[in-house]
Amino acid sequence: MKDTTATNGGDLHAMMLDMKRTFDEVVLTHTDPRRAEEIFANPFYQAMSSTFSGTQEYMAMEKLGQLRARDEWDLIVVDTPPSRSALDFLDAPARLGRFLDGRMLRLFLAPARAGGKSVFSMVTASFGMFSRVLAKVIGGQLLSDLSGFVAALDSMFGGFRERAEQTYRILQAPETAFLVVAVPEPDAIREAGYFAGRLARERMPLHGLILNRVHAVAAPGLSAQESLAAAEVLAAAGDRTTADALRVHAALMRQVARETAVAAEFTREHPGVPVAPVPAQPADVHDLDGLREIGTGLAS
Amino acid sequence: MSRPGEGWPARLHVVTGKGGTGKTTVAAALALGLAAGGRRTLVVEVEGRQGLAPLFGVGPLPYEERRVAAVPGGGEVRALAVDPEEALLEYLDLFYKLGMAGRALRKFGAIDFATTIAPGLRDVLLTGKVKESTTRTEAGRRVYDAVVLDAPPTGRIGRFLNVTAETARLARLGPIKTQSEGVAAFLRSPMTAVHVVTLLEEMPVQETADAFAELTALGITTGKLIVNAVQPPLLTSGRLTQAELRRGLAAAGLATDRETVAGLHTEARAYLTRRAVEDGLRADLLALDRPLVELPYLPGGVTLGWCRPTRPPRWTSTRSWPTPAYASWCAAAPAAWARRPPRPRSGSGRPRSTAGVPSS
Repeated sequence: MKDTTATNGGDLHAMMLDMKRTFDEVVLTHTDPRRAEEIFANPFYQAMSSTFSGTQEYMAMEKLGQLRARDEWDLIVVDTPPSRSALDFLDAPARLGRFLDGRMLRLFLAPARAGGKSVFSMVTASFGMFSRVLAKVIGGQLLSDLSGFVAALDSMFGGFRERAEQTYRILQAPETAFLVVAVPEPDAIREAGYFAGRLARERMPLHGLILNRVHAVAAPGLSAQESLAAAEVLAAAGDRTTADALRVHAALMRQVARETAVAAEFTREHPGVPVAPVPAQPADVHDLDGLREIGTGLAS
Repeated sequence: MSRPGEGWPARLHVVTGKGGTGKTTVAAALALGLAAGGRRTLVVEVEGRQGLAPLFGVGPLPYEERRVAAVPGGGEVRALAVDPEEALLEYLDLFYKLGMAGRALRKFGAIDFATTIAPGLRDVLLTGKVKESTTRTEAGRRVYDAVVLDAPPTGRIGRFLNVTAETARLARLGPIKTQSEGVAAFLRSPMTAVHVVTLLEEMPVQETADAFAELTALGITTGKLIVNAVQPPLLTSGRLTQAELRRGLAAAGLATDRETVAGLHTEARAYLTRRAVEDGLRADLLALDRPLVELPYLPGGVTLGWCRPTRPPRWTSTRSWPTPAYASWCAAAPAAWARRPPRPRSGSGRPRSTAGVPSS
């Protein structure tokens, strides 16, 4: 990690997941062109591949699997969505599996296999009540769009599941490292604790917590209390500059104390997880030089 | 606030913001503020995060509207954590009188279907439930004076709120179309307002601008821009030099060694740099031309989330509420809610360079 400067030959590429394009690519790769056209034209596919949330997790798994299979990169860094949805992709293989093994899928496939006759003509008696309910709730037209969509994708679902499970296993392998980033604030650390617990349950290798924007005091000799008391006196005497500087200092002292307590609480609850601090910068970072400064500090 | 809820005409307040900006806390505080004067409000969460429960000092919220706070003057706040699976069953029961047949859906894997092949359905159900709570009446009177939704973050809010319009387009006929159209129209009516919470930091401000643009394009009514954790302005005048600070420290009878003086000077300069960035970001926010509400930074932090209930939750009574730290913030909030936004200054662009620290 010392070679993160531009001068010694390393390079960094970036990409953003295009959910629709990834989905289209998967369809093209795993079906013949005529089938693919049919799928692309299905209104349900169009909505699902571009607008609905949830599809993203599957496509993220697909893309990650592809990137790793190409064996082109020394290191792949994935920036996940924030908050709880960050770990939704971990559920993707299991959800897909439950769906594929469930009766719902067979229900949707029934009309297509029966040669496209009336939607539920071929389903068994046990589906009777359920299918009536379904037709009533979602309506005939949407149901046949859905049915067409599921039937067209039928040959691909198995592959989806297989690849999602494969990627899931890679995420558990020692070549993977999860890093959780949080600012030292109670809410953020609570979320980080949730991540740590969840990753442990999934047996995913959590390598550490990156404590972002940790503040530091430059004048540790002055306590918050004496600073505030002195600020009052100075402000009354007309020295607003020093009074304000002391107030800034007092606020910083308290913030540092709070951050220290919050970080200690995390370590108490997750004793095995290493913590790496990143110092707070006065201004926001939005260029490579700023990133290098943080990266060098982190990797040292 | 001369009258409870004045300036907040909507009945459904959707609170979004980038993760970490305090949108859950703001949603909870807004529900408390709007419950003043004997009103009843509901605060709803939809992401399964159980972020509201610790704020109100209660155990995990069930899929049920529970009273979580009493407000002086006879008002009360109820809270609800919407679970998509339960919402689906309830929805089917409500509109189709399914009874046990609804339960059979689970057996058939319909729930997995909803989250696997039709993931958007989840958001349809969640927004549908929110509409139902907002418009529900009992004996000809609305059950809630206002509903506050702790919504998904800015990155997902457009998709979340537009899902019903999308579904209505997809289902050309049938009950799903009718339902979805109803919810889509409700979210676009004056009854709904989407408020965006931000901090004076670059990424949240950028996402705020993006969210307003996206929501406006979708025809969804945007409400207020809520700037959270605003620091008091210090060091607004005077010359900040080490010599000046040394004189001041000496006058106050404090240590004047080099480390202390230089340290204090460094801290003060970092503060000014930060504030210059914040002023630029505030100008960007004002340029969005939305009613702006500033909430003060809480020196102690909103630490309620950190406190665990010291005894098991008892739903029959409300625990002592609010706790002092939260009370001080909530006391500040209504005043800030009512404050008028400053007029946008012209020609105040964001300073790109961070090297220039104002020294005068």
